[in-house]
Amino acid sequence: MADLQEVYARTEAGVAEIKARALDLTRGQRNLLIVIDGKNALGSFAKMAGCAPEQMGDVLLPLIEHGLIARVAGRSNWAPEQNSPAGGRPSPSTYAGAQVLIALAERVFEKHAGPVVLKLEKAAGSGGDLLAAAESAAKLAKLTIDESKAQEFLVEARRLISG
Amino acid sequence: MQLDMITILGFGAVLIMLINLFQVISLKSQMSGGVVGKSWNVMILLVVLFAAGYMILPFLATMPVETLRIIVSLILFFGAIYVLVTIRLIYGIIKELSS
Repeated sequence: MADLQEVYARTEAGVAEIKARALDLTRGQRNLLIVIDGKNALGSFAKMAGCAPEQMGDVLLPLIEHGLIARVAGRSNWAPEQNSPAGGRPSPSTYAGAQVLIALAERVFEKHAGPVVLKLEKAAGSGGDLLAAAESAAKLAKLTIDESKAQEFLVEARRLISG
Repeated sequence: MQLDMITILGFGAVLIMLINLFQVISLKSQMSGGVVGKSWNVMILLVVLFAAGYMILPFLATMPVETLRIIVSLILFFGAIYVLVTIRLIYGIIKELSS
């Protein structure tokens, strides 16, 4: 089982893989690759990876083997369910969730994703409700990008958020 | 050219319409499609037509009455379409935001 308190960061190969989609990663592995940030502990990303914390090792291992992520030495800071941190900072799960939604928006809306990404980034920064942010972003997309793509984004976002 | 009130108003209208044209084209990059994006293409077309139509304003005095009547009728007709598109667009936005 992976140590959930360890902190991992994307390598250059990991950044390249997000864009290239060259490897046959599962959805959970890809989500984990997108949200891993070199700051928050592995355990905080379990929901976004679509697995229980104790199964994180299975998702994590292929990413390490391919050299897409690497452990950040000396960083270890996970506490489960930090949903209301002091000082109004977004919780790791909110931050990670927003990153997944941003990646989803970039995939669905492609070159037109800019305003939607901006909206989701604001939601991530304020630590707001992810579902509300996704619905709001979908409305913006429906008005200014494409109605069917907005619906596709919303359905997928709801699925990701509900885990 | 005689600089009377009609001419001044005409040049003012052309200037404002050119500003409108610049803005409507600039904003297009922010809406590639969707409810607003679709209406926006129609609005760009109408503003281009208006801008072209307004350009004849400085030459009004030299035009035959019949030509003038046709041009004014066309401007009024497309003006009505513009208002219709705008109202439908606003309705679409309100409907979407309240859903």
